[in-house]
Amino acid sequence: MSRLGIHKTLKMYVGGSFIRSESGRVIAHHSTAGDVMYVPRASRKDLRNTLEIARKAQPGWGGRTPYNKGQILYRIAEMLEDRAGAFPAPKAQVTTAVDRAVHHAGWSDKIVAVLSSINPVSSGHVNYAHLRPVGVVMVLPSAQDGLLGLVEAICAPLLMGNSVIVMVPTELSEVAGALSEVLAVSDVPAGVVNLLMGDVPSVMDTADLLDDLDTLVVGPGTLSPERLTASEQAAARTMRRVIRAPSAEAPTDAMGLGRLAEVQTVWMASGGPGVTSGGGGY
Amino acid sequence: MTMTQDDRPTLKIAGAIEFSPAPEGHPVDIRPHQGHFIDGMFVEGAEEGRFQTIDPATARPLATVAAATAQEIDAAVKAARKAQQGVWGRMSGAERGKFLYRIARRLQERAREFAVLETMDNGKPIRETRDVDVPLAAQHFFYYAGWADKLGYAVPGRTPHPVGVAAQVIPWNFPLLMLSWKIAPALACGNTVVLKPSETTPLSAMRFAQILQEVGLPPGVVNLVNGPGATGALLVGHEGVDKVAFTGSTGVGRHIMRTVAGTKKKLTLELGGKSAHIVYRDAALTQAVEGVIDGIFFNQGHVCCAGSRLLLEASIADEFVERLKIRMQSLRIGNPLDKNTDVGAINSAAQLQRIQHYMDIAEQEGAGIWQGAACPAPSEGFFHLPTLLTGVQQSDTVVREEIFGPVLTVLTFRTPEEAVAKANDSEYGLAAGVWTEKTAKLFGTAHALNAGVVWANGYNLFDPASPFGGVRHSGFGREGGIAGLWPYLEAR
Amino acid sequence: MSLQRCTEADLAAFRSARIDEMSVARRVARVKSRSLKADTKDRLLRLAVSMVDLTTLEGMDTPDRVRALCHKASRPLAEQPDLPSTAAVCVYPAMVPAAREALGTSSPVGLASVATGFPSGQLALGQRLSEVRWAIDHGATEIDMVISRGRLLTGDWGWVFDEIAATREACGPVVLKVIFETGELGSLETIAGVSQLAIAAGADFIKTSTGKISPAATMPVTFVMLDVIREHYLKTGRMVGMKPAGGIRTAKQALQYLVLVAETLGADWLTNERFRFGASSLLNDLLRQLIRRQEGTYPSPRRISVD
Repeated sequence: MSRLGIHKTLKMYVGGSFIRSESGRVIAHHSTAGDVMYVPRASRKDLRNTLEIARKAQPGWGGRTPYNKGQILYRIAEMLEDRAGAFPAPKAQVTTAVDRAVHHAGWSDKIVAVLSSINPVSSGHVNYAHLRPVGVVMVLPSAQDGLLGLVEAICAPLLMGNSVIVMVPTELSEVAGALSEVLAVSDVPAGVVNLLMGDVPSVMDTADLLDDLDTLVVGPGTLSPERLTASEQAAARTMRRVIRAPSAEAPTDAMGLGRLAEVQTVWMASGGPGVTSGGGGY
Repeated sequence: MTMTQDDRPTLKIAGAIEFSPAPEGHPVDIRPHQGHFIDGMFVEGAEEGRFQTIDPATARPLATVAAATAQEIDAAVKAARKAQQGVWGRMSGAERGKFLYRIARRLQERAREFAVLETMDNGKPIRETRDVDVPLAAQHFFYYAGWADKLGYAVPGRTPHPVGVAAQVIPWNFPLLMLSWKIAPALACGNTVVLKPSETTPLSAMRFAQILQEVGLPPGVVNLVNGPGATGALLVGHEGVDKVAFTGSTGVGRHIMRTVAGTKKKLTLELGGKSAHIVYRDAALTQAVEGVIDGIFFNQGHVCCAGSRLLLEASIADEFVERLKIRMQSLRIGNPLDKNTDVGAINSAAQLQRIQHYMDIAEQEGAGIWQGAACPAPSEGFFHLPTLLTGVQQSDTVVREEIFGPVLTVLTFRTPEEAVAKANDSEYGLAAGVWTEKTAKLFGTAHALNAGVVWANGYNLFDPASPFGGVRHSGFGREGGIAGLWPYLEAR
Repeated sequence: MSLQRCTEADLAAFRSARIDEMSVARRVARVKSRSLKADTKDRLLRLAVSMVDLTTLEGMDTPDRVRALCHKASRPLAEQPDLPSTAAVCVYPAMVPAAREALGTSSPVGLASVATGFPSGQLALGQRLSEVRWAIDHGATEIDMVISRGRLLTGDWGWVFDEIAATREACGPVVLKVIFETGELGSLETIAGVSQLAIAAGADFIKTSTGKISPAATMPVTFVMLDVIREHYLKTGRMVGMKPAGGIRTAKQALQYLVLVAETLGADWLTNERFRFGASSLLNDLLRQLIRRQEGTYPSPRRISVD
């Protein structure tokens, strides 16, 4: 006599907890196994709460050492490999995603060196341009990119010191559920990575109203041109950065990572040659 | 005007010695009617919509200026496209660089002429145009000239390509310098340009076009169209444009961002600010006073990154404010062409009105208003005395909104955490300053500030090698340095 | 006069003076670019003449040489008898009797004597103080002392305070100028700190240099010292004088210093009671410029006596 299996309830991952939508609303969706599953449908309030949580978590994450960030990204890779079987996807897809996480884990203590500069100004200052996180990044990964797209959506902003809100396409809900469990055991501090599920366009209607969101990364094909234009127009209210990302097939490269950061220029008075040039002076 | 009067020792700084009127005498002829510069030619422009540009120090007109029609803008964009595809985009970086070097040299040779012209049209002191605006503009071309054949090094892992035709709209506070910030990197990267100067300060740009002719820059590589904001809107909205760069108010920037939404145009915005200037008690205080003065009274406070929110550690606040007042009494306000002038004219009647509007608000908000200078402000032209607003709060309008004038708000803090929190408590994020002689605190504070530029023990310093730009409502994209190339490259 | 005292806390405060050199340099550059009204220039050139401590401090000085100097100080330019005399002559102690004799007892020209083992200060304190008393006994009205830079640089600020206080006591009502030899002090912060210390110990003037080493007076150093004088005045109401010395040779430089004084301390310091130039060749250039302004020609240096 066969045993009756236990089905897992699909939940979103917010602030380190697995939650349903506060609205109680769901989207019926067929799982890979062909069963009907109910995907939580993030409400306006869910997104607002998540943004607050991500905002609160960001300074702590951004303040971690680059080495520590790299180790945690690597831990994600380890957990992903370990739980490859938990993903409703071919093993090869999972291992590609693992390799992507490993790739990004190696960036955290190097990218600033690649994109920063000491600027030889003509006055007695040490002048450097370095990178600071943009803050809270919301990513819309493309359904076509599968697990790899989700991992890319998380790792690239994360390694730059940002906190992340991923809006999971419904097709990837199950994969996202498994990935959330990986994240929960990967030492990623609560609130730094959050995965919301539901109806993307309606969530974007809310996202467009949230002035505290710093950057929006839009994967290919995730929004209709009209919807994208609307979000770009809404972004003008707060000068929100909107990035039209390419497919996740290739990892976000150095220049791409640079867009997930703000260049900060620091002038340090140091004396030396040309002490009086370079500006007004009264 | 209110001055504190009590029996503490006072210094007789103002008027201790007289400075001569020392007007810069370099003659500058101004063509009475200005048009546009399109496809390598000066065009007269339409009679309809012609407006005046004035000398704000006297309120007298300098020239009339044409407003570009839609056809003229279209012609300029097409000329830029043709030049980009036909000549400039195909030219080697080294050759492009040589044109930029020539431009830099010509600007140096004609520096005094440009300084005088800029001072007349803008109202800023000749000392600043002579020592800052014009030399830095030349240096900017020199700097980016050298990049033109080295662009691959600026985009690690990718191959640089020009973006195409850039539409550039610049403000009136540093007319020639902002032109150089826009044109030099654009040209170095192989783009061509249609630029609209501010309608209150078009003269230096039009004279710059003479230099372009003198150096033999191919026609169409740089085009200038004059006109009011509507002209700028037509330009950035033109479908033949690949790249939009704007420096100016956050309001207009927002409008431009909406216009560009949904298109493939690349965009950089360098917008307003309400930058914090933190002085810790362990700062070199006399020099911090200088820094604060540099921060807010440079260019009459018409600086997007002006250090307009002074944050003083509470234990030194009263003393520091007294020192500021003493120092302000040696600031000479007056004829901008006078070499001794520290504070020149407000650029326009409208801007003066805007500043006065904020002064009214300050009064309603109960601010202590103190004004002082070494001499009275001239009775003609547009002038505003250097002003301190004390007793203000984080929530006050004058603390939150950009005044864009010589008006400093003074607040206090108790701990470094509070200093950073108050500094970051703004929708803007362009610049900030911090003064302390404690190294760890200096770096720690600098890196904690949510601002694109931080000056540590200094303020309002600019250099072409140094990226400049803001975060949040202050815009995005950088000008200057390697980062200043990125907005003008399509790196694949 | 009772000996000044200071606490460890005072010394700690002196030693923690903070100066940003970049910003000082910018400030000075700005002051140097001021241009003066013609009549202001005339007034300031005359004022500068009256601020000169006309100096000779050579091993080869003789009574004759000092007499010549005193004549020049009393009447800088024979053809312009209405010009003010210089503030003082400044000589070695051994030359004080000759200078007093040449000046007489009712001269408006002060008689400054360097003392306390000038220029190095490397004598026992007792000897240095007796030198001060000797100079005063023989007619000096102003004493230009040197501090012990070695003590200062090895951290013994209390010792330096005490030597100034002791000299102050030895001077009595005689004007005391304290020479730091700023060219040996290494940083503007030390200069600011020792300026505070000297003022607290009773200096009437603080003075940059002996003129024996380079760099001597510079505008950044002078600015920092003026700034300390200003802070002291604003806190206590006491006006201390300033004397840059060494390296100021041209009228143009002198005018730049006066603009610096005017913009830092204001009109009350534009007097020889509070500002002096320690110089020898400066006076002749001031005279040349005065003639030039009056006559519109550029007089040959030969027109003015070399003393």
